[in-house]
Amino acid sequence: MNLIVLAISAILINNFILTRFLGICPFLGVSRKISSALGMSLALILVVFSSAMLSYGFYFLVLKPLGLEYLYLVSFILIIASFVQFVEMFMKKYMVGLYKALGIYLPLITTNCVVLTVAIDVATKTNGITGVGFTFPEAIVYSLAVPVGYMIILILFSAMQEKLQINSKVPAPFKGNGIALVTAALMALAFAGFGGLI
Amino acid sequence: MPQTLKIILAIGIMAVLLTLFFVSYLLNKKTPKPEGCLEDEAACSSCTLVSCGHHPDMHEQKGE
Repeated sequence: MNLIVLAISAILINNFILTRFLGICPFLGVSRKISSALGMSLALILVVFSSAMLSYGFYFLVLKPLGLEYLYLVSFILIIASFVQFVEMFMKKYMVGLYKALGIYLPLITTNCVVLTVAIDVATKTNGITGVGFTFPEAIVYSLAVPVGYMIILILFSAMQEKLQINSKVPAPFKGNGIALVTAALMALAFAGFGGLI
Repeated sequence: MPQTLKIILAIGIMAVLLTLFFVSYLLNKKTPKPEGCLEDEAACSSCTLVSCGHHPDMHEQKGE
């Protein structure tokens, strides 16, 4: 039950974009076309999940037993950066089709704060439900649910952006990022309605 | 565990992670992109992240 609550919470209620304002840069930048938003989201799911698992393992198997927890931030940054490089290299060599679809988004994801935040959350924070740290199954669910929530928002937002770009009724001062941010604010208000769900 | 050993371990861990990053970066840079893969400029035309290395504006700034 806790796992379902955790997933719903991460996807709808505590969505990273709308409640924590993380990953706003690609949210505004890569949301002009639904196809770009979908590619970015799929690449993000792959990277967030894998890097969170690596960071979780590194924290609990290396840093904690050695009493070096204070190194977590630098370690996670290096683990994520190295992992993305390896994934990109592997895709270039053995998964050309996938590289064509997602490869372009991988360098962008390295600098996406959602990736680092999920890794930090699962390793060092409490899960928000039982008040203790994340167990391994909870870490798996959380690191999948957060990018899925990100994907839902990004795709919904890009669908609206496509309409807004051809809408001639948008006043000139609001065109571009202005109307995009107003739309994002209204989406955040709408999603706040999910607050009473659990 | 003595404090000195902890510091040496911390430096060792950082050295390993940094080496891992530089090795992965160099290997990735040396790996050629698949043929017909990167018509980036078309793919990036709708993106507003101009600081990204793939973005056409970045190439213009570099004078390419």
